[in-house]
Amino acid sequence: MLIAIIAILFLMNLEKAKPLEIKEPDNILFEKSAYPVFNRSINILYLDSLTLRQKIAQMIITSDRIDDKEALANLLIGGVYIDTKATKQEYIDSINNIQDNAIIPFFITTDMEGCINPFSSFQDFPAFKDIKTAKEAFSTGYEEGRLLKELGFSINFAPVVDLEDTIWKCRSFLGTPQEISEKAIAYINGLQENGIIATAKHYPGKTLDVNDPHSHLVYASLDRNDLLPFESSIKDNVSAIMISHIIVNGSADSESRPSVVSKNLVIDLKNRFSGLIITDDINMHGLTNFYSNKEQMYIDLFKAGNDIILYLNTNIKNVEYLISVVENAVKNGEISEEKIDDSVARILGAKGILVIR
Amino acid sequence: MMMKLIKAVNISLFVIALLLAINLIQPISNLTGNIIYILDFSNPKCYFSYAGESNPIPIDMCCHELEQQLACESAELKGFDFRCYISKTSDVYYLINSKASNYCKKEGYDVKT
Repeated sequence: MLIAIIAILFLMNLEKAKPLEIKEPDNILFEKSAYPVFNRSINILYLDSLTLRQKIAQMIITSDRIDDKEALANLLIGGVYIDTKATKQEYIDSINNIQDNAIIPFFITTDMEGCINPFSSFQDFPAFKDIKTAKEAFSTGYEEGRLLKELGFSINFAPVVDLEDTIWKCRSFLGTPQEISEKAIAYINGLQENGIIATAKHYPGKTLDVNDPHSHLVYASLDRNDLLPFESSIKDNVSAIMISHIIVNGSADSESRPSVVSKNLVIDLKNRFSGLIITDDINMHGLTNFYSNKEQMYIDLFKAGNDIILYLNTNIKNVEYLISVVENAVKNGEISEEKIDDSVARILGAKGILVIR
Repeated sequence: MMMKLIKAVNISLFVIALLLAINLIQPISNLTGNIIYILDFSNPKCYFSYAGESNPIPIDMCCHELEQQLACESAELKGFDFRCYISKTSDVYYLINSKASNYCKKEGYDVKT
């Protein structure tokens, strides 16, 4: 009897450890445009040729710690966050290895914010707090953008435009809200001149100003100044904004929920901003502790209107589970497919793909 | 003698069944991390050091950053067990105690301690 139980448990463990088997998709309709623009032919993608699961997958950025790169590509995951490497060549090899499998190119992402510099083993850059002028901010953004482009990155989750960083004390620019806005815009322009997507974060502000570092749910009251660097960045065409998990009231109100799942807050931003809206890492306790079940959290993240979900997970099965939960929620009418289509069109547009709906 | 042997085999089989059942719910490696974490009664401590100034970092934010460090080595500072860095010669690094390291590992982060 006991031996039979062990055999069953052993088989169940084997099943659990089995790698995810996803066939290479053959349904995606790509076409090269017949009329080159600026001497470059453009990739055209017919949105209807993507399945709902594939569209949801495009909205996820996950970790390059997931070993099964083929599954990432076949699921049609939108992007990959690259971990720190010791040399330039390691970055280039790792990124090429990921992109080689891609059916739709991945967003290749990092966090490079001056004093948080994953490339510091071979190149130094000034910390934001040491940048004195907008001109210096531009040249830092430009140099960082040049390196990121050389290595094969497409998105930098920077700059931090929170008015104050009382935790690390070096990730934010110093100065008045106006000066911070000017430096942020200059840095963004420097990055974006190299074709790198800049991400103003952490909307709506005060995210690096935690009064109680032991508390996992973080609350803050905002005033108009907190929003100023974001408004200026939007006006100056920043390509992406990252939303934090902070619960806010005042000049922006997240309805007593983490900002990232506040429909009012995200939709209000979306109405004023045509770029990408990206969540902060959804593994953080500032978000997970708000929920008693993760399925509801997944649904709320999509319902709120975020375009990209940053889910730094190491297990492809967890990512696939998130996709299944959201797929069911769309089928049940809890999340509108139109909203998904709108986000996917924004994502593919940012990847330089012309979308036909 | 025979009865004793059967009893020992049954206990062993029961333990194997138990471990397999636990592993289905939560990987044994995570469980070990959890036990080590619970048995350590100190508070997790994580400090970010930049240009000679060190500041405490909330543990939740610390774990993500620790995962991005390329190496950790024993720290020669009172209250800290490890120094984690991307570049060994840089003045940017994290100082952590064992409790912080175990906490992050328990949460699934790859800390190189």
